[in-house]
Amino acid sequence: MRSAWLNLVLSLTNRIYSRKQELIHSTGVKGMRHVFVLISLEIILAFISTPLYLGIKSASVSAYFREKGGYEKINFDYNIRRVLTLTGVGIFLLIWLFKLAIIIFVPQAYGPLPLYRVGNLEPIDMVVSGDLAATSVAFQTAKTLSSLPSPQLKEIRKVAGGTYVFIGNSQPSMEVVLLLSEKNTIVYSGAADKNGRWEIKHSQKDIRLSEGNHSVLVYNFDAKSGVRSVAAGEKFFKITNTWIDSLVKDVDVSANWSVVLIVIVGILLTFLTL
Amino acid sequence: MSAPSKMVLLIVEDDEVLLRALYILFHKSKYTIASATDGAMAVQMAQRLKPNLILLDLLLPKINGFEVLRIVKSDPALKETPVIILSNLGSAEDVERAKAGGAIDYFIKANTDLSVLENKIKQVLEIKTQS
Repeated sequence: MRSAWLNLVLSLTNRIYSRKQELIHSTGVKGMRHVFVLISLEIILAFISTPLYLGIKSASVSAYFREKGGYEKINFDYNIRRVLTLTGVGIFLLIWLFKLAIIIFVPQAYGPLPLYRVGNLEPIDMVVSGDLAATSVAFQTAKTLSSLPSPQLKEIRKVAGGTYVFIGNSQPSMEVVLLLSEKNTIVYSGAADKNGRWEIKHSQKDIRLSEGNHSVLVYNFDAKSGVRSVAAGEKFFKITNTWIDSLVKDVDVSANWSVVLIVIVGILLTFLTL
Repeated sequence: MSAPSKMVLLIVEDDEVLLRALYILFHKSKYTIASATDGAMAVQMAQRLKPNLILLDLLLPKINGFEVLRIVKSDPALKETPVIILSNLGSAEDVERAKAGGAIDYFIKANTDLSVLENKIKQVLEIKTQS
């Protein structure tokens, strides 16, 4: 096993040497092909030879010096090409490990990653929260009754985990409908308590609002009578993405750019070591 | 520290990975391994260490392997030291030149199985021990 591995290391170093000789005597596209093969071989060698670097510490080789009458440590001259190659591979690995970690752990804290976007199969005007589905048509067709008091939106609070809480007052026990502007209007409903206080939550995990300003409209809805109040004054709030949000959103693009980075580093290393 | 009974094998190789591979190949054997990564260092270490065998690459920085071989073989203290070539150079002229310069054997890296090289080195050193 050990012998086969060492022979593989030898074989790869030979291939790299041969490829360099060919590269020196080639031009144009053919030369570029040699560069890419060289980079690939160097990366493969870096992986395969990693145990060599892990297994032998610098200065671990000792030799006997007769003139000194004893052993003395002899350092390997550390080859800059290998260091740089391993550094390049290390960066490559780190980026991909980072990407993997983000893919695994970030959804647990911030909800599903928006890596893929699926178009609406059945375009609708409104995205309706689950418990309002049955009444969504009813409130759209409800008559506006100006005598019905409008609810008040008092506060918009952002809490951990990308959740926004809309808090306000209304007539006690009235149903409150809240419209959030997005590409499609997002509709929530909730009932005010006996004191007239109502609270509606929007979670970015369920429906992700884009960065920027969004308007909020609230009104009361009486399902029995089929009427609704006039909407209270439109209010606005701003969604600001944190750098983590941006990183998560662009993680795939960033990680794929790492490949380009590695190729550039590889080309640089190849030319440095010719 | 007292003088060791181990024989000293000087490996001259500028490729770090291959040098380490050769070290792994030999360090558990009964030999003390010393290494040099360029020709000048090889000459210096050979003169200081008086190794029992030199495994020499030919394409080396500073002083090439042929020159190292010439210096070693012209040094009265080192001329009996067996030198084995392990190189990428594989032309008949290079092999002939190295053997004419005093190398006892010549291995071309691309055609070499390390176990064959290992056996050859053991064989040479055992003969040297017996003599």
